[in-house]
Amino acid sequence: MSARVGALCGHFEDIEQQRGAERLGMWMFLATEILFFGGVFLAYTVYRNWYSKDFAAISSLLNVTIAGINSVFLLVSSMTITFAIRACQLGNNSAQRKYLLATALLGSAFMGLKAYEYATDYHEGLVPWSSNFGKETLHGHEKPMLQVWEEEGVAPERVKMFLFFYYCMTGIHGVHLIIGIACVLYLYIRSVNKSLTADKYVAIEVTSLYWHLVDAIWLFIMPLLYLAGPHTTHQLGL
Amino acid sequence: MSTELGHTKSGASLDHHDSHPQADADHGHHPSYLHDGYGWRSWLFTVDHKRIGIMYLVAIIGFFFVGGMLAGLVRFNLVSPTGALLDNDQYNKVFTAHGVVMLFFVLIPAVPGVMGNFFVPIMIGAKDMAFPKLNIASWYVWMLGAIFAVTALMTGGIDTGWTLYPPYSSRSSHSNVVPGAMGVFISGFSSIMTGLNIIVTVHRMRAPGMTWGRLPLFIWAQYATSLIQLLGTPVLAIALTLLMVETATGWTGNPVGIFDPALGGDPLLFQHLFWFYSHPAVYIMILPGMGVVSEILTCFSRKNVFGYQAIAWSSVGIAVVGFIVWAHHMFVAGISYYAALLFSLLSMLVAVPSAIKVFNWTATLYRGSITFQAPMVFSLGFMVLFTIGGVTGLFLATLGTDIHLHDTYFVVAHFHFVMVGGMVLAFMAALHFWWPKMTGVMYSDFWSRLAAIVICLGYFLTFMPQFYLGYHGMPRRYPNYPPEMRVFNVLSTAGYTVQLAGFLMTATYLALSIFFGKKAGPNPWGATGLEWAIPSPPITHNFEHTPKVVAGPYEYSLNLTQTGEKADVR
Amino acid sequence: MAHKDTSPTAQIPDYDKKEVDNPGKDVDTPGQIFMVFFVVLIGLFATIAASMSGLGDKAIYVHMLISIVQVSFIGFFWMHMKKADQMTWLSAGSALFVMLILFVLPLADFLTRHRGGL
Repeated sequence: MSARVGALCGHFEDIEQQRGAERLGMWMFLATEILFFGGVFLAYTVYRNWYSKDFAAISSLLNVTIAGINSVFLLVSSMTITFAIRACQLGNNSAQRKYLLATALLGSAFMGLKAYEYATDYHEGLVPWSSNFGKETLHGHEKPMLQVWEEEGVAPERVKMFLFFYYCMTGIHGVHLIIGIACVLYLYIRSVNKSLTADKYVAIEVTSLYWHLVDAIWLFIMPLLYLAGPHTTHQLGL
Repeated sequence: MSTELGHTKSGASLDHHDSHPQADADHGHHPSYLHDGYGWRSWLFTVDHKRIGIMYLVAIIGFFFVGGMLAGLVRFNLVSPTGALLDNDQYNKVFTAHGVVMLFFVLIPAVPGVMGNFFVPIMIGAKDMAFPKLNIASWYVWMLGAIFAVTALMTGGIDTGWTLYPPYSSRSSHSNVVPGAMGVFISGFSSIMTGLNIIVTVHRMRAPGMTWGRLPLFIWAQYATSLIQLLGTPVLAIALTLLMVETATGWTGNPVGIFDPALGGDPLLFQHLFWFYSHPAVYIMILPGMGVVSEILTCFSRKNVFGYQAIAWSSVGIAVVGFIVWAHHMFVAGISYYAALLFSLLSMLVAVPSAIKVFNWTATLYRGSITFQAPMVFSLGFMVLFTIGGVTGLFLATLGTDIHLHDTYFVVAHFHFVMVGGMVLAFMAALHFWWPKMTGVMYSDFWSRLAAIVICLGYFLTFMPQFYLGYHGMPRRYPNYPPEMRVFNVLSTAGYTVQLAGFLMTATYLALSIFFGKKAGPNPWGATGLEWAIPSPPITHNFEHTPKVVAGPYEYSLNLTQTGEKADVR
Repeated sequence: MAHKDTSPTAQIPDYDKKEVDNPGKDVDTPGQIFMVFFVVLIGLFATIAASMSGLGDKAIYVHMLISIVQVSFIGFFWMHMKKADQMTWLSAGSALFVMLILFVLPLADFLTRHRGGL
């Protein structure tokens, strides 16, 4: 049915109607995404309010350096995808390709660092459902974490809950980012084929809306999870 | 696809719509959507909103049959105080399966999936939905979810009830909770896709002259429904995700419990997230039915609708207020007294827009020239049964009485009056109203009226005794009951068989009409909407020319269709 | 359907005739894109700094405030809310409104209960 004439699908009356529909469709989808993450943010808020001391204790063990670098990656990628729209609108195909590729690479770098971070978390005994949970001795402490928590009056169940949220929120966010990377790569291939021309710039624009939302959600996840507890500058390696 | 050229042509014809009759000559060239390609490929790979609607219809009839049979198992088991057919575990699994199938695979997609897909573009004068590929994707995603859920229900079953409350579901129940939840999760995407498509279509695809004040009330109701689908469904999705992850952590031997009180979690949090969707979901089910009834009551009383604005905005009002009432499901679950008081108050509010609708419908009927064809009988049945269901809802919204009535058969009767007496009747009304448009043929007038009356009486007989049972303390979801309650349970089961007879009648004459029915003609009811201005069944792109809308949706007193032509007079 | 339309208007889409489509007429300026980038980047540093400033439990308020500012900038400029129509504002607004309900009403329960978890 998509009888295309240029960028226009047959069932639309004109191109601006189609662009409007595509933008609105993506915004509606973003509304569902906001509420999807809203549910888990609510759950986190409830328990953070109840168990703030325990959450702070475990949050301080997470790797703020990686989270900070990852945030920068995402912010730069959001900027490059905005530049990609601009390049597409102006018909600058080579810039459009570069910016799209940069966006996908930055997103992949984020996921790569995230995977590395998950691996270190595992070795540090911070995976609540693994058998070495809390049995490792972490920097700055002399005993396994379970003993440290016992002395500090931190309940392991609550630590596990925090980590549950940590893996769920970053995991769901990561899945969204992987989908975003796939979409950007698809746009990149279409740009290389020269089939993503200026009149179809909305394809990049709606993808960028999604990308920005994933970025925006990270801007909330980052302080909520990584900065729930007090931090010192030497955690950043400074 | 071979439809492309006709498509492009009608797109281009907009240029001419001032001086248009250019294409009158090739009226006969456009086949109806049913004859536009044959074979399974032309259906399974279609992006035509009408064919997708029919595909939803076929699937929903199948699920309705399954859900109805499961209801029969429940009812016949309750013929005996000790359980006539099933052991207790089987009983749990059967009523859960009945709930899951009926809610997620019949009631929620019924009107949006079938009538919404089929008629929303036609009624606003568009050639298709805004996103045709997303539309067909929604059907496939829904079927994928159905496969997960039905497989989970058939191979071992789920014994938690459709609400999947933890910690029972995540810790103690060794049934197929995770695949079942996965099925519901996936089918939620389908619901979002349909809702998104309808909203964007209504916003961006309206024909020239189709202002918001001229939209048929069915479109307003569908629009409000889609809002809830969009904004509610993701919250259920996250609740189910958290539930599935929590259950999965239990398998590792190191459980984490954000909903498990033994591990510091709060099961009420799940209930909040669950009902945040699932209470608005009952408005997903009932709102499109209200839209259908608004169409039919005006048509068969030959009167302009009374209070167009009020009915239209009450749909939006229900959608908004529907989001702030959910915790009346949790009054006895341990939420704070203050929150319970607040939610009791807020729950009362939702009666206001619902009552506005009923009063306006009644005023529409007043001094109309009413005829009692099957769609009208179903709609009148809807009005009666929905009002009973709605008013008994107020009992349950009241904090004090709810403590007595909570989790009894009173609740079961209440929501069946709304869901089944309301929504299923509205769906039947819609099916009968639009059947000639969808298939091009007319069903038997006598048998359809008879079936409508039989089904309405059957509902009444099934669920009225349950109010009595519930008020006298019979809890829901129990496989057995004290012997003195037997007579009412038997009455209820008898009602089920009456309904079954009615539905079998319907299935028979509708099936026969496809082969032997008279040609219906474009406008068998003399109705005024845009969908009646085109041939039955419609052509693939609905309109030869983009229609120009010049009138409101219900100009029955002037006998004008929305394009300004004479509506047929019977 | 093997219907072939050969009329001359069939192939010509509407927008070509009206000559209204000019994708390059309304582009973001690089200056604006960079401006937003620096605002969110500074916000990021401020977020991390706030957690090291000894605010303790109160840091979350600063964090959320900064995040809201960052996201507002991203939404307004990069997501083109600036030049969006009413419908876009309405859909974003209704999402936030329902999100508000999702937070306020459950918290009305959680914060007024007699117990506080484990």
